[in-house]
Amino acid sequence: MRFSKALLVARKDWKEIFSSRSALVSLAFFLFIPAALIVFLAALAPMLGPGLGQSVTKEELARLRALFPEASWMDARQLTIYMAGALIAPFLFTIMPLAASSIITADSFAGEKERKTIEPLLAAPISEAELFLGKVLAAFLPVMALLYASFGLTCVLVNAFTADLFGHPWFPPLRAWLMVCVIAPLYAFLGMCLVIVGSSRANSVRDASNYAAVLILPLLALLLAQVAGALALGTAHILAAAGGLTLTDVLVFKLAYRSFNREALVITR
Amino acid sequence: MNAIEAVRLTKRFGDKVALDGVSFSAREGEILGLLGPNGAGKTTTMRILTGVLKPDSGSATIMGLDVVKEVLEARRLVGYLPEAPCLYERLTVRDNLAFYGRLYDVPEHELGRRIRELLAELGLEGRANEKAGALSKGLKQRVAIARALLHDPPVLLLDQPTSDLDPASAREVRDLVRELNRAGKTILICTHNLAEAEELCHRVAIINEGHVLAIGPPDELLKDVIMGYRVFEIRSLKPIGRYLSFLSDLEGVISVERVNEREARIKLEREEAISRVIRELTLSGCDLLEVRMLRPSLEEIYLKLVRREGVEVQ
Repeated sequence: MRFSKALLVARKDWKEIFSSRSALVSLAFFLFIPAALIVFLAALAPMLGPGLGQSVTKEELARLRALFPEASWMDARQLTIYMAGALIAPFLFTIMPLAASSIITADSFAGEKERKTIEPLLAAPISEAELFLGKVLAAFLPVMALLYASFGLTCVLVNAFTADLFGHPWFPPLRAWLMVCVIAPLYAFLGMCLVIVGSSRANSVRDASNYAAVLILPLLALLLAQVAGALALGTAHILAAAGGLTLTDVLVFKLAYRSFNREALVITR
Repeated sequence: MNAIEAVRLTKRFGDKVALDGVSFSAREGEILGLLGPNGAGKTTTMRILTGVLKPDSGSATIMGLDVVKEVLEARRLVGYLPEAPCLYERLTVRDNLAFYGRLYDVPEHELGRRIRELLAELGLEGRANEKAGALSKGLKQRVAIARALLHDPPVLLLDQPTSDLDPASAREVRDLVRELNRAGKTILICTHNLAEAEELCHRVAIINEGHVLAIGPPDELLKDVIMGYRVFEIRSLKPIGRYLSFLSDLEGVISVERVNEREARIKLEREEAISRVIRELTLSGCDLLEVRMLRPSLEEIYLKLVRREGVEVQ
């Protein structure tokens, strides 16, 4: 497989995506939602004053400290803010790339089919793996760039707004680092592969978009389970999940491009 | 060597048989026409030759390379023009061409020059930076032709290259096809435009319902298919009516039909019988002004073959 060929397809797709203002606005919107939400919570905390921590009972405080042992030194107010940063932020930053990338991935093959540009591409000397990887990269690289821009901005703003409360930069906690830097790209890659397979089999971009929604559900379930206290994902869990996801990504990528069928793209069902 | 060879190609889509043992070949430097009604299997054949579809059975080669086993190498030797121009409308003409040039491994230092040359040859100077979507149908088709020629392939597969074009643009495309053929390209042209096939193609394969019904030069198809008779038209200086009755009695004459007062059409069993007809007419005092053989058109051959198959021609 020649990476240069895949990159060629990705570059062509970027030119198309970046020439569409609506696609760019949608991408930015999806990726800056988590940033806006977390920064809003962080900015709100100092304004609420000491009352924010007073509503937390001793039992709840003990439970929170057990959930976040690295934050055992924090008071109730700090811990409440920390929970938003360590629990909610990483999940939002993992879900959003998947949602944002579906704008590109759903369009990848279904869009080419709709716009009738697919046939000369399929007749060109490019292998299934190169073509498939090109379509994945077309979504993966810009979405990851936007994700890290959004996450970097969040880090700066959250630490700035909570400087008085914590006295030093505290965001992102280790689990947020791991979720955003390891789990988010792995999960996004998996989602992109699956949506692109869907897109290659769908007759329209709208049909293909539905595939992305299904992948967001397990993440939402995990987030809710954690917030409800039914589950506590620690660093070890995240690293184990990263290992599992890496294997799944490799397997799914191979299966995806092998199941990729040029015929299905030119035959209207 | 045959530049294109298809051997007993079959292809099914569910219950529908698209190709049922299609065989043909095109010699290097030849223009071969695939002629048939919609749904005959022309586009399916093209897609198999470009490796987009895999045949269920049979085989095909491009310059000796198998289109299934050596698909990437075979694709490099083909310039493909699909039925629609298939351009990226949000990209400029130059970006469209550069993308395909790189996909076909045109060296980077040659790509710019090649694009400029093709745009100039195809009358697209000054259009390089225009968005493809802003061009007219005719101009889009020219850009699509430039795309097929970028890597200078020895074989061109053209799927209905003049459909949807105005007469002037269609004429330009036909002239270009002839020019490319003179430059040594082997061209497979898929069309249901009979006049175009007759004008351009060295040989024509008539295809219908996944079968090749006949293949050969238009002239030979004429001999093979419209066999058994020849039609001549005669014109005389004076009214011809009184000579017609005795003409029908002559040996070798199948029928005589009056076209107008001074013209008649004679159907003969064979070509040679016309000399006897001319002699007898002259001896009987008929002042002949003109005798000409009516050459059946490819359209007649096509209609005869396709109707024999019981298909409604579009």
